[in-house]
Amino acid sequence: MRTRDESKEIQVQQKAIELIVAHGLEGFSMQKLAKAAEVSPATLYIYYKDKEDLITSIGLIIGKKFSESVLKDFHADLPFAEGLRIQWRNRAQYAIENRLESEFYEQIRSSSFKEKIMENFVEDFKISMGMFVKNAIRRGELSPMPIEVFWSIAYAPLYNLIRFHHEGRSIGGQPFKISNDIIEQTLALTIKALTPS
Amino acid sequence: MESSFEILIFKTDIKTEADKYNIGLILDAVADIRRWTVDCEDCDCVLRIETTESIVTQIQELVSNAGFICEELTY
Repeated sequence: MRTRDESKEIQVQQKAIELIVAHGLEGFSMQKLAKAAEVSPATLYIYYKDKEDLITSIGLIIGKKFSESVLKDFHADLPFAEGLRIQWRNRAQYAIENRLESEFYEQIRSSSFKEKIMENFVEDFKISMGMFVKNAIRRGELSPMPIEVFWSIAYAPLYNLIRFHHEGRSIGGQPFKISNDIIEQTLALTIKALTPS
Repeated sequence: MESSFEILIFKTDIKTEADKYNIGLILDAVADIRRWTVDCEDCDCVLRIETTESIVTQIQELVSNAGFICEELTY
């Protein structure tokens, strides 16, 4: 009986993430993956029925991990500044410790796989985030604003710092490494911008 | 807990939706087949079959008789 070999499956997933991050979803194929992972194409089909099935499966695993990481120690009832600080800590930790996975996830987010993957795990995540914002507005800790404005102020600055960190340099090619001080300074300004005056 | 089954992998030339429909009429009638898919996007048009019995020869005969190539791919 041919059975699934879990370690081989993980090895295939890791190689698929590497290939997709390096060359994008368009150029990715089962044949290329088989070659890169040094397995026969038939082996891939033990685990997945096609390329779409493979990408969706990996997306679901990563999405679940991301969601669990970001929600660690977080609660929708937390005071706004405290909740946002936990979010920043969790998001930074996940993105820095799992750079490839994060980049893979970003590719998926802007692809046709998005809905299939997001609908499966994102509901709890969305409810928790939505409640957090709603509670903060109700308590007068956060100014009401469209979600796009909120996200652009609340999280985009952090992701920009992470991008500089991953690239190893910032504006004008200055060497850059993320630190708690830098994160705290940016977070303080972010909270100031979002809090009613 | 899933009951145990075998996965059979074949290289074929089942390329189009019409081909898939036609082969489906045949494969759906085989009681031992639990689930089957064809990856028409792949250059090997891989036919993947989950069966409760090892029926490689039977599958090859059925698919070949329907006018398609059907070579078992080894792992």
